[in-house]
Amino acid sequence: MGIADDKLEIMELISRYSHAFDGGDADSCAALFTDDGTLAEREGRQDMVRGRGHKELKIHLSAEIAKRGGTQPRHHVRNTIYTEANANHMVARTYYLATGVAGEGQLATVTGTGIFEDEVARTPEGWRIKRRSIIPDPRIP
Amino acid sequence: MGAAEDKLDILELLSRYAHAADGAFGTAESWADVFTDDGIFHARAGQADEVIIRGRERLIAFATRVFLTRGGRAAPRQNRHHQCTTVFQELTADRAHTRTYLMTTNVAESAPPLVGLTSVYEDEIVRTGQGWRIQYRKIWPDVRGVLADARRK
Repeated sequence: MGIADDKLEIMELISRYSHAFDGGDADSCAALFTDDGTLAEREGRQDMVRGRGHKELKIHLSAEIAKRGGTQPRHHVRNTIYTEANANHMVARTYYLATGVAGEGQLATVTGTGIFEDEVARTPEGWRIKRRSIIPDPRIP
Repeated sequence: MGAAEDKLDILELLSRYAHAADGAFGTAESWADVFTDDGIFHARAGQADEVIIRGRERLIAFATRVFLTRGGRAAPRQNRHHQCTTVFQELTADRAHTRTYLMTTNVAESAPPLVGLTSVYEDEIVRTGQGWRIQYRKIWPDVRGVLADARRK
């Protein structure tokens, strides 16, 4: 398998996160991470860890999914570039554009933009996320 | 190397443009890196007037000016160039002609991001010793109003 196949699989992995998270499936979303996978969110200059390992990730993701109430989010991902690309390990940066529909008859609005920085690793089950840092675009005062 | 690999490399090149153009991680040099040394940026979208910028040194000088304006007090915002929906009009072993949709979003104070402009990039791309690079990029806004907005800033 060449590097193109790996990159395509990684882009699909990144898309699968959106489908699982937006679809409210915390278990499937957590399963996209390696056993010791970490999800973090950047606040200022610091990465705040939200969960490490499948159990913690499921708890965190379930709470995030519950928090959204009736709003249906969609995390559109595009513009993936690779800052590191090796046979078993890559680092990708991907734009996300989040939209939300607040309820019946409502129009979707853009709710946020930013970057997913993903460290991914090849496992026997395929490529998995070792660390995802969510980097929301800061609002400029 | 097959066409699939070339297409994937070119799509990543186009994405690198966005990451370089959007400031947070980009620099004028990384923006110019996407072009060939004699590359041309031909634009009206997002510019006060039509611009034709040719060659690496001028591209860097142009990007430095644009990035300063964006980060300055006149128009403080995080800008995102969302690119997608690329079609290959032509692809040979060492040349490609693509069309790519662009939608910019802007983050401003205490407001969700807003869609700025939409448009289509037209790119002439060539294979170089360093990989695929843009030789000519043309970008026109979808509406004339964008030009007027740019002038007011």
